[in-house]
Amino acid sequence: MNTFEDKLLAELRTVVAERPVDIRRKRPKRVLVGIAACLTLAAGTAVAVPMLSGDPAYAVVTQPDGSVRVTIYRAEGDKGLQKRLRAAGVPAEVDFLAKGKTCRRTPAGKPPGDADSRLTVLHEGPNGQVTVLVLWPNDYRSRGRTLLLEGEGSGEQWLTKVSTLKTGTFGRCTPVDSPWLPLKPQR
Amino acid sequence: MTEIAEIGRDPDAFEAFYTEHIERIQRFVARRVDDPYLAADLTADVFLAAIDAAGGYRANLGTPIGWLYGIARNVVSAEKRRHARELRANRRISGRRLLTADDVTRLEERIDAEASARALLRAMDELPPGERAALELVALDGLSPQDAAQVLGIRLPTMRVRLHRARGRLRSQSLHLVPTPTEMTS
Repeated sequence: MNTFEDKLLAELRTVVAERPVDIRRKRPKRVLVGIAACLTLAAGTAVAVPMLSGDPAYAVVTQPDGSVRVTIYRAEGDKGLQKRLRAAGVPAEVDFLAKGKTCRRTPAGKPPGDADSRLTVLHEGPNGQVTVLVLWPNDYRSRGRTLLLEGEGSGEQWLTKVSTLKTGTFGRCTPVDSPWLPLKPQR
Repeated sequence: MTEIAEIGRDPDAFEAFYTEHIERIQRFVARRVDDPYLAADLTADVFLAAIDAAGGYRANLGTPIGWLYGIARNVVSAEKRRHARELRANRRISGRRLLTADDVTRLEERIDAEASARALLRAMDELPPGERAALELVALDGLSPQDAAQVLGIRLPTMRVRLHRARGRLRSQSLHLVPTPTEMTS
């Protein structure tokens, strides 16, 4: 157990062994189809299939360092997720729309400056079927910001887009035709 | 071959998976960063992300190496994006903490060995992002076009078009890429 590779393996084995039992035992229940990734400013995307299972669609956990870790397994229950985010101190607008639709907001609000935005998106894109966001509530509450989390999808495919943070006044989500190309199932 | 779904819940299954892929992932990272400490961190991040995402792997959507390269590509891309600071803050295993002087030397040797690949990546900077991503996975990382298409979430014909166009552009810049064996036979 001398090299970096050996020591890393030992630590990673511990990570696997210490994972919660309900996560370790969770088995796939349906085929996932169609993975695509598109990045916009401070944005990540993931595509996943809604699974026919009793597993939660998302989880919102406040971590010891004050950050909020949001894990989205599939794009379902937008208003429930929105409520959970707000309860965790992150003002949020969450809208999961039909395939081919996106939100138009009037007024549209303004993107924040790049320098002081803190938003971590992990596991987005091809085969990263679970989207993980790490958010810092103070970035939102004290600066008048709102997290915009938008998704579109239907049938076997879901696309979730973590939109940029916005400041200023913006309107409610009005579904309009999405400029994104429709996703085609992978064979 | 390791059952991917098991690596997130069975340490022995994970070890088999890790042993099978650690070399390729280290080379993948070394082709993209030139700091041995950052390379150690990113290598740890790739396998942590694989542990978390293993439950969602579906064999009918592609090979394990395609799946893992997709994760590695996201991890390296995330590091390069502006929220890298937060990513480091949330890192569960600091790979660099595990390094000894000998490890650093070995990582530096690996990074030096990939210097030409990094130079080639820089030469590809002028390509459109989609074509660049396609070419780097096939020509530098040695994936088959099919696996690379899986990584990028595109169809195989689209991948072939991107490769063709990318090569055409590079040819016009007098840069040539040697096709990999998998590419020639697929």
